[in-house]
Amino acid sequence: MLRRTPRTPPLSRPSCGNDSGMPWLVWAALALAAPGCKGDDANADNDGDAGTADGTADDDADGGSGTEGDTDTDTDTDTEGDTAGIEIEPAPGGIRKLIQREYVASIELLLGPEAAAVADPPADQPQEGFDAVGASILSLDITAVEQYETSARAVADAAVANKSTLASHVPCVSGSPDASCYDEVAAVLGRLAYRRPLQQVEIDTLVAVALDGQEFGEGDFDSGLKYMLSVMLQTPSFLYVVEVGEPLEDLGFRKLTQLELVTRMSFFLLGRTPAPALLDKAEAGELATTAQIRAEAEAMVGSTGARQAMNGFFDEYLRLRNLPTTSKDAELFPLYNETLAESMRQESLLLVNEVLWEDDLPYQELFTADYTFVNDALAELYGIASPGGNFARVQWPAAQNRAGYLSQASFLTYQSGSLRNSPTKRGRFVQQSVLCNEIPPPPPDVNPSLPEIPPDATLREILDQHKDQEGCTCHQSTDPIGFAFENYDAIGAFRTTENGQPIDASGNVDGLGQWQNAAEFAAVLAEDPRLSTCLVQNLIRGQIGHKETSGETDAILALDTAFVEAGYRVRDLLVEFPLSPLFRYVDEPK
Amino acid sequence: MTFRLKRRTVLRGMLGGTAVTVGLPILEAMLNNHGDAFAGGEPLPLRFLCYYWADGVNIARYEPEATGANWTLSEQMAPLLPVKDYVSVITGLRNLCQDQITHHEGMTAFNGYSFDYDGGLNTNAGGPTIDQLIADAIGEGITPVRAVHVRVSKRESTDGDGGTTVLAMSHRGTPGNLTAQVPQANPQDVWQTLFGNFMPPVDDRAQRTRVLDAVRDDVTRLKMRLGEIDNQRLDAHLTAIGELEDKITALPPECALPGLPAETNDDVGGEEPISAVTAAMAELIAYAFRCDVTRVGTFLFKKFVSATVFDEINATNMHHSASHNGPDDSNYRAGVIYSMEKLAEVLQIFAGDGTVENLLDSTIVYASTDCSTGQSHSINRQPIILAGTGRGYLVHPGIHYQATAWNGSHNQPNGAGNMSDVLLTCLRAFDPAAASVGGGAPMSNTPLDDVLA
Repeated sequence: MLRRTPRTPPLSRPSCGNDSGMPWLVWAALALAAPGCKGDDANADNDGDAGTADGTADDDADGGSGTEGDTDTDTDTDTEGDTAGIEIEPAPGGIRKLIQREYVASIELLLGPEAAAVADPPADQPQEGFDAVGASILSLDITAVEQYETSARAVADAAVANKSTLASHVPCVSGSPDASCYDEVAAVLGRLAYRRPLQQVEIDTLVAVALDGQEFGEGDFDSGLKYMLSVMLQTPSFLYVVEVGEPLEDLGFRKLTQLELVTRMSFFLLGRTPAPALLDKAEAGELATTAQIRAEAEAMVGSTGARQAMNGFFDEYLRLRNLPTTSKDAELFPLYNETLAESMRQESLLLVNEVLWEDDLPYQELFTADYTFVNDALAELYGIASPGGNFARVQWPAAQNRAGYLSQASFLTYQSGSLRNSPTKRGRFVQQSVLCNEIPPPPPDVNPSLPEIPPDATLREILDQHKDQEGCTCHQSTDPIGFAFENYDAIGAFRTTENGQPIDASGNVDGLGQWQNAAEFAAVLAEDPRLSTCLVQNLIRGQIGHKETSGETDAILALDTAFVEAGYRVRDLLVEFPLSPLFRYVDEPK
Repeated sequence: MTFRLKRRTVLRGMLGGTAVTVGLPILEAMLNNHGDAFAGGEPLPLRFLCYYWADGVNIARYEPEATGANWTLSEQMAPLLPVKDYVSVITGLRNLCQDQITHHEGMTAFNGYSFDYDGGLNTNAGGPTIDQLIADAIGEGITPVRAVHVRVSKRESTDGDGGTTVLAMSHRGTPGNLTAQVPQANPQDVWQTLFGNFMPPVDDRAQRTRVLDAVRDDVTRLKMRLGEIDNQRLDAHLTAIGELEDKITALPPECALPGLPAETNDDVGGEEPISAVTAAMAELIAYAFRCDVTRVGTFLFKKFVSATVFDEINATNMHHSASHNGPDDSNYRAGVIYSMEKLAEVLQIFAGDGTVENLLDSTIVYASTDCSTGQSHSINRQPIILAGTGRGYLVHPGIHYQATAWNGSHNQPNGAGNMSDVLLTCLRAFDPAAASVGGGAPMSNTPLDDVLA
């Protein structure tokens, strides 16, 4: 049974200065992970909301009306099973701009690798840590619109110079086409670019531009083709994913059409616009039932495109892409340079690849792996024997107490300062991005002055004094976790002393556990239920493009349950996503 | 709509090593009998540059001791010596932002609005910034480019701080419906924005505008299916399309156009080429001002809480991190002076070498930062620098206006008045009828007349 969640008031702003009772971030996390929420029909029955739909919210005959040019006939709504009993107030529908890698990958599908090679869209502007969130809420300024025009012109030039991919979609462009081919390109390629059939007025507009361009080019077909492609690549119908759905009157929210669903699936799982065959299935109404959607999702997750999409996601999520512009003091860290930074990035991506694709291991392995991947430069950094040549899998030295991503140089380097490591930054990343706990801002009247520090004090001793000062409670949520990585300096090299004093990497945090070193912390983290839930939340942010709402909590927990039942296999979680009501439904367009 | 051409003669100059020609200073013969407008009645171009440096100052070493006309440069303002007569320093005014989460509230110095809080360390700009209000006052179509937005350091804020306040220093629109004007970091991109459309390899401007017309039709159709927020986003898209069409169809200015600069702002050995980029950006903006390609610019030297390290002065720490080591931290002190040096270099490029128009006579430069004392993020004593005369609008030589004397405490700085008064002063140079700037507590309807000529 699908139910609309009663609206809940927004969470009030946390106050950092109030350290009485349970910290806000713990409260927030527990609120999300509270037991007994999943499938709790009693709760739903108490909501007083008469707008419940009996399992098949999809039973309304949505004949595809209301969406321009959309002939989607979605006649079924088999939501029993995977979505049964889930309360949902979906996130608003609307538009999300393609992020850079989606734009480039989509152009490659439409127009070929030569065209993709010159695609140069404006830089993404992340919000909430992810480009897709920024792409959902930010407006474009003229600089960005101009860059889209410049990119479209370059792509169009390359596409007409290398027409093999375009010809695979629209064969008439080969040889010596006449002007009637413009109609075919507009209809066929337009459908792929806009992810829906075009209205006649849209086809007419594209053809008119093409004919004008052909005349400008003194009759050259390709001249007209180029300007037509330039229109397609700049229209919002290409640049933005449009997700407005069709209304479900009983529930007050909307269900994605099959074309919108397959588009969301393709961008989520493959990082690009849907292939023609997927659009065909959607238009034929073959993505209506749970079984049909699951089968398609499994096929997508089994393809190489999914690896590339998840590579992009983890590159972003784990901040790996930021490494090449991360500075370190050259005298203190002579090993560090751009090449080493790029190696760090690759090391983490190789671990992701191993866990998700090569071995299909539980997600926790990303944080507990007793091995890593090194080349010569990384082996030197870690102080271990080089396997020789390019990257190879090696065991972590037992004495270094390392485990998983949080022991890799990428994390330890990026979440540090240029001079020294930062328990605060490291702890903050774990809290905010690995456990999805929100850390409140510092109070305005905080006194950041440090007390008198003995010259041989360790960083931990300094920060311990800092957090004990009045008004400095914010660090209590970050530093104790960050101290777990004190055995690793600002570029991830192992150390046992600091300032001549022995390192203390132990910790004991209420609601989390206790540990003696980073490897033990990783084991504690692996047992924490927030770890898997947070991946679900980050996938919503990074791959769908919004920060999860309170109305999605039940659906998030249901996905998490499926994740748990699948042995924390990320691939299985990815397959579950398109079946979730948070994926298939939207609220009124924002 | 095309912009109005101005009569210029040309003079050879240099930009980025490439021989170029620029407009001569306006000749008397081109002016009316009063010398305060072109003979045709058009007002002489008045320009505006908004400059931002991050992470505050050391008040004790920044604020001059003497006030009024007989002020002398402080230790941290010393680099401004070559342009001191064009500089007024304003101290002791309060930032009345209604909330504080560290650094974000400082950006009220550029718009007079409190930020919109968005959870955690995320905030969104509360209202349009002064550069956009001035661009509005100048009017559409007067120049081919409405405003140019540049940044120097590419380093982003480390994890944690987010929202549009961090994304850009310039925001266009109205409260609740703002478009961040994302600054460009590559001088070659800035050149393309300012001059690239005047030199297309093939003159297909008619086809390009035809393409954009078709895109506009698609935007209009899509809007009907969306809600208010996305409609606002698409309205911004439509506005940008219209302005791009104007740009494409604008006739080139009569001055010769500069060559593509060689600088791309790529790291060299892991270090940012900050001086070279500062100079290249200032040259591009100055050239565009002299050619009347645009009259408004913003210059973001370094984002707050960014990972920028001032390698050129052998800094051994991020400037932001150094600020939290205390006002007298050696890296921090040097970094503030370095920030002032770069501002001074921008102003000197604006002044020119005597063979080109001295832009400090026709420009108002508003420069500020996000806090007074970087270590404590204090907003009670806002550092503000005004430079240029704005065609006789601002006092010359400049003065030190002090709202209230400093109490000597870094952790409990004192202040008086409202810093947004200075924004209104700037706006009234372009729109004498402007009644106010900003909104809520930081709003001002009382310009600071003390700095006027």
